[in-house]
Amino acid sequence: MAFLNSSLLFGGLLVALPLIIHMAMRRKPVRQLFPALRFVRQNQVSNKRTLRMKQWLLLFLRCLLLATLALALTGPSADQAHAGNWIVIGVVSIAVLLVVVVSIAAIMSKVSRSIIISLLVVAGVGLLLDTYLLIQVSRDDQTVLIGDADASVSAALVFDNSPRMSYQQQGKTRLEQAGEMAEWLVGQLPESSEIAVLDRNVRQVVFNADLNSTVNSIEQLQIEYAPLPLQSSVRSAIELLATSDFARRELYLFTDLSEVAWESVGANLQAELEQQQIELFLIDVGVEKPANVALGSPILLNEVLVGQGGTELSIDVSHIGLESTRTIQLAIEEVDLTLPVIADGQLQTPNLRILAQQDVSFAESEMETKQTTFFSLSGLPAGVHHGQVRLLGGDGLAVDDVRHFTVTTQEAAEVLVITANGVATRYFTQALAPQSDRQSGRARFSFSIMREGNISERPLQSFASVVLIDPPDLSTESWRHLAKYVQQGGSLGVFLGPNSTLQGLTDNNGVTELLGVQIQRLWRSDDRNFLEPQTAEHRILRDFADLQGSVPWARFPVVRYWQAGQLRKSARSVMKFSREGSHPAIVENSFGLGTVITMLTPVSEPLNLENRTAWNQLASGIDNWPYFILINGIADTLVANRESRVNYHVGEVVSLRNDPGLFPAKYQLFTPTADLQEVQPVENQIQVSFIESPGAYRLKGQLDGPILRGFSVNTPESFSDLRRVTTPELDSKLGEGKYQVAKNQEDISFGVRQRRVGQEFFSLLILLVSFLFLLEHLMSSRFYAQHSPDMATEDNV
Amino acid sequence: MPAVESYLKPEVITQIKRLDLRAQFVVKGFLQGLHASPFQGFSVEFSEHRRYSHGDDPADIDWLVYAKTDKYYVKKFEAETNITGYLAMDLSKSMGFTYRQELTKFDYSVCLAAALCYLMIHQQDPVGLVTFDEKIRDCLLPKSRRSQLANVLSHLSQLQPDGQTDIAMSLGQLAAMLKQRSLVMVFSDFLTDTPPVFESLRRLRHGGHDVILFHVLDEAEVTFPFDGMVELQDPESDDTLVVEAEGFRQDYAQEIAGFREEYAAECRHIGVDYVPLDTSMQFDRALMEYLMSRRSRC
Repeated sequence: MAFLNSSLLFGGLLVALPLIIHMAMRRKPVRQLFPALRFVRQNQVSNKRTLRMKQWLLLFLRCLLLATLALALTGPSADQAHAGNWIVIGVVSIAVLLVVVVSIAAIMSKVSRSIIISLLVVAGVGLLLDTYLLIQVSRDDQTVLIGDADASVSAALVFDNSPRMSYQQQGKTRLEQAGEMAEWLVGQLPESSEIAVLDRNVRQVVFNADLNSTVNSIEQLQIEYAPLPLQSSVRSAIELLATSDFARRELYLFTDLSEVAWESVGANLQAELEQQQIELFLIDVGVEKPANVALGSPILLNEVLVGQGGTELSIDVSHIGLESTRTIQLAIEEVDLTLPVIADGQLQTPNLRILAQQDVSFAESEMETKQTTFFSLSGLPAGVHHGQVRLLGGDGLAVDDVRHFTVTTQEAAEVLVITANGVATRYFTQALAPQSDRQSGRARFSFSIMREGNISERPLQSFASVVLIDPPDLSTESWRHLAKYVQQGGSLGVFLGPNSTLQGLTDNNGVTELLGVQIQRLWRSDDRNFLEPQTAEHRILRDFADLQGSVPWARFPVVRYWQAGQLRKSARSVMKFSREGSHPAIVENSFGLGTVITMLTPVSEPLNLENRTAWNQLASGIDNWPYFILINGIADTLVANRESRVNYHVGEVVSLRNDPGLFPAKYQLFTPTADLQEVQPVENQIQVSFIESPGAYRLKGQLDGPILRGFSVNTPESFSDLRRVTTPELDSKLGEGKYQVAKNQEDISFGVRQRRVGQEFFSLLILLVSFLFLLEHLMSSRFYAQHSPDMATEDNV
Repeated sequence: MPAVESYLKPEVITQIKRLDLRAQFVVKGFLQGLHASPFQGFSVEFSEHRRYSHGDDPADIDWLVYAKTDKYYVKKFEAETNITGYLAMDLSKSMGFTYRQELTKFDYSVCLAAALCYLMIHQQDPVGLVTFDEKIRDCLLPKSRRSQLANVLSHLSQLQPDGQTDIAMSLGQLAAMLKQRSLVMVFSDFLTDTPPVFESLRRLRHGGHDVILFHVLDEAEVTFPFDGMVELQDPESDDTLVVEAEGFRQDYAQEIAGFREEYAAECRHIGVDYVPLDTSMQFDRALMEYLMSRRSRC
């Protein structure tokens, strides 16, 4: 409970006035001659009792009238949540006082004791109820009411400037709408208020120096493509407001109330707001019934195209709102090594060539519906290609009408296969690069087979990967040479077989460190032993993911293998042997910048061997498609180490591999917003942080001629989700009645006044005063009516 | 004090006259209706003969006619009524009260008495006037001369309601004073204890007198029209009482209604005409209504 003019509470002393008048200036009743007095006298006692009761009631009424008037003039107000309780307290208090007055009158009139006791019991119950309610209110009432709508406040204006806020309605984006309301609001805030403007960006938050700087801050707000979680911005505002000396702290959150944005807001926010006694106002600038067709992020089956090979691009198209038919266009930039350049502040990029287009139709729906559209990409020359998928025509949210992608086309990855004489490698090479693909130039891999010679003298850097297939015992230098290659980022595949010896694998030659596992013995098993996935989500097993447990691994028994002991910390088991669960079958080890994948049983065992029994039937088994997928998975994983991901979302850190000798040592980075930055690789990696805008980012360097690289950045699909958070969800996060939602200026004015001043009781009390005044007038006029015609004293006869 | 003539307002007399004409009670009406005359044969004029029928007094048979016609005829007379009337006026101080009416109870009673006096003198009945408070104060002997009207009215005009009253004592004195059967018309508010009054009324009736009680109350005494706090004072005893009027009105109305009902019941019982009046009623109309009801009873 707060009072606008608390000093006027002393006006309550005026209740003494009617008491004094009643005691000291009792008005005499009108004297009247009346001959039939004998009939009056007979009811005198009961009338006197009634009279006394009425006198007390009138006195009570007058005291109450003055007290209520004094209370009304103090301008009392209470927190909205407790207004009802205060009204009940007031009503009960009046009732209790009334009963007390009646009780006193009854005692003085010597009314029956049982009636008096009943009255006192009623008064006691009323007092107990009052006490209970007062305790409740004082316990819950944490709200600071300043009682004066014009008192200075500390205010933080927090804007949700995520891409969703670029939704246009009536020619204005939601952010522009929020800005207009904010500027109006700033004009309404009391003078000398502290105002801060925050958005979902990372920056230092301080109170603005003056009104102009506040307005400037609002006008400079822009869409943030990599916004912080809404909760972070709100928390920053809370922390800032907590430093304020003003009693009244207000947080205005301009939001479209989208469900996705509010997912980040936890229930603990309510506690923080209450702890700092901050009033929260949600300024809803969202659209109740949005209409939008949105493109999701493009998904490329392969970001790297090999030779003449192609890939598939799929993209989700989601829709909400009115019936709509839109055309989706796939376009890719022409190859032009002279571009990009920045001319007159404008980014010049190669022309886009339209490759395909499709129409999509959607029926009217208030729920989000989704379709997936597929395009194929092929026939691209070697190099990096930036492309776009775009929706023709316009809708409310333009940010999701264009999506960017980048693909790299390169020659087949060259793999060095090191093996021993007599070892058949055809199963392995055919599985990765079928003859037909090699002839058509679509093979993803090319192989160099090395069966003799000193490995340590062979340059490895140019190979995408090095694979040891059933290798013989290698010299320590060879292992060190391989380790150096891996250390610098190379990838090594080791498929152990009968040509290796335990001694060759366990000598102090660094094999254990390189493979990440200690080879302990040759293990003999039976045909009930087979490979079993252990880390299903691993890239090697990625293509098995959809098959779940239906892969017939049991049809390909593994009867012998090298048993490995404890894995090193850098290693992890991808597959294991089914008979001995603790025996890993495929181990991946991170070594330096590179990766080593070790399979503990041969990968290329023919069906019929003359001298020995085949260790497994993975390659030679009937219908061996699992082998095919497994080998391709291993090879892709090995080669991928050299490749770089080229499609990102805003806010992610971009990392591109930049092997010395293969790529330039310095680049110019052209951003979609026509900014130019110098980029230098660090430890053979190009890292680009703070990518804040969607589009194609282009790297231009020189190494025996211009080299163009790049990557694409898209906004997450969640920024296209325009579904709104519901009131119950808001209540669960912020607490029911703990915040105000406003959609327009009137709502804001009302809400702010409600929160700042609370529920005002002035009008209610003045109404009560009027009622009491009327009651008092009626009662007193009937009580002390003037009887002018005192005809009894006139002598008409 | 208004002049004597004020009681004989033209409209009042006109009302009575018109009533006289319409009701034809000069001989057969009013006074005949008022009492079963014990004075038949005194100052009578022959009216007509009528065939004797069962129940007729045989003394009325005209034997001369019987001798001539051999049939029984009775003689029918038209009698000039000469009943003696007494107007008994209560002079108590309470009679001088009115709250907001033009006339006090006393004025109202005087008007009534004047009208009745006029009527009786007009039909040559002797009328007297008795005034009383605690006892009979004055007495004007009944006469039927025209000058008697002026005397009565003159006397009435000089009366002042003052002092206390003892109605029972006064009516007892009157009963003892009356030597012949008379019509006693009492004008009072009867604001006193009822049993002695009833006793004295019974005595009057026992003496063979016809009695009409004109119970005159002020309109305020009937309706209790006060508001708020009032201090009521009895004009006779000067007793005071502070009351809150609204809370009292209903109880008072019941009391006064009971009081009037008590008089009405007792009067019915002892054969006294009881006429409850209040000063808000037009006295001429009140009188006329009473006479009409009286005639319809006869």
